[in-house]
Amino acid sequence: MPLPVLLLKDREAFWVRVRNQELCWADLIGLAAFIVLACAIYGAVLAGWRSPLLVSYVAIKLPVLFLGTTILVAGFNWMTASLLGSGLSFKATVFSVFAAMTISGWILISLAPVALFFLLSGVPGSGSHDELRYAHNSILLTHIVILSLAGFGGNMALLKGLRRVVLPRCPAGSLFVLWVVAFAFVGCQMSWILRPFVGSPFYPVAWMRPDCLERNFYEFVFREVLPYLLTGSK
Amino acid sequence: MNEDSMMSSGSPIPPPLNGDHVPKPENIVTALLKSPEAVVEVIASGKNALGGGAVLLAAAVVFHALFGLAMGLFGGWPVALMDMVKVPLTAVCALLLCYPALYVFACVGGAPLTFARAFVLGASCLALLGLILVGLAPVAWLFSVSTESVPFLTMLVVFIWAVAASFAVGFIAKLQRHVLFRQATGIKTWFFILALVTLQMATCLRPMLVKPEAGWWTGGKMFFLSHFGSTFDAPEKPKR
Repeated sequence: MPLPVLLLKDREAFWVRVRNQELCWADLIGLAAFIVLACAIYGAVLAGWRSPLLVSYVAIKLPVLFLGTTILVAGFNWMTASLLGSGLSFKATVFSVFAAMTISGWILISLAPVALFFLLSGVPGSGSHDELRYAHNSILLTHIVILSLAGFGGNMALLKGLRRVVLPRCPAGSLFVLWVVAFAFVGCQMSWILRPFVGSPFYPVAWMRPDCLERNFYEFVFREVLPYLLTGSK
Repeated sequence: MNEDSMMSSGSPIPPPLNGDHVPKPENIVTALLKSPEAVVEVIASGKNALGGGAVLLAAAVVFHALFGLAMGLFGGWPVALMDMVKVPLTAVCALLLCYPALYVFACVGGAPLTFARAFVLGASCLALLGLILVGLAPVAWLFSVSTESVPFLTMLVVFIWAVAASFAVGFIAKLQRHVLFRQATGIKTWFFILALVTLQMATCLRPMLVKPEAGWWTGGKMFFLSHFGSTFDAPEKPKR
């Protein structure tokens, strides 16, 4: 049974193979290919309301976002796993994270028809400024719900998996929290650099924004979002 | 490792049960009403799955059509006849769109299904929704012929549908008594998605309560929140 299918139908068997170190690097390619495919399909839907050009961009960028973030935090994941006495090898930590992303990928693929339906039936591609803003916010909300579900499903699978594969003395919950925080911290910045994904109707379609490297996600949050929320004005 | 912990992590699909308590396809709708546990056995065992699922789906179509008739009388007979098609179409199309999600969510949630079992599960949820809708169809009819307010009837229909949906969620909760479905969180999450898709599908096939200006539905894309919000801008139905 291919690993992505095994992960969907019999995760226990997958975690046993991780624990027994029966998986080789070649198996990782299969998982990575599935993640790329799933993210590319959902990425195409994600940008579908804006333009075919953005569809092709996001079909490339979403897999880059997920796999790139994983690569950037892989070393940290392995170190924390070692420090907390998990007994996991570097390969096992990578397989664990890829397993979670595969589960998320399954959820994204299964909900792609739903997202596409909302896109085709609920989001006009033209209209007044207010109508376009409402359309953009509506489709953004739809994607946030779907991506949150995918993230939650993947992370819950990761938590349950870690509890099975780490040594008894290792606090699996703490390790999980460290991994998720690191992934989210890096992932937010990666998504900031690689934006646009959904595509604002008020900006031209672009591979990346011209100012993508001028400031970071957290500067934006602390300098623009939080003051706005606290004072009600920019 | 005990069986519960196996199930919680997505265990292999268990072998079919002996099927002593599995109802025949022709009795499955009655079983859904009087003995939902028997329908759970059909889903779990996979016995008579396709036949039972087809009967449940057909029943769901008929029940939704009857509710559409009762609800649509608000706009007169032409709207009622139109709703006899639109309401079941809404339900079935929403289920079809969400079918891949049902399969994946059940597996991810720790209750792995086959495609056939997922089909029966989806059809039984829809049939149960339809059953409750038919039970409340007289209430919908009473109000549809005795009010002129579009917002009131919209709220009533959404309320009735929510009541029916709560029974469907109750049915999903009953699944948890079976060892295959100890972890039904994935299926409950799926039902939430089905509800949202149904609302958007109803928006797509609008209007449901009044006659469209031309054809069977109003063209134009609209998000369901905007659509249901806009019904409050039209307080009274157009004069026939």
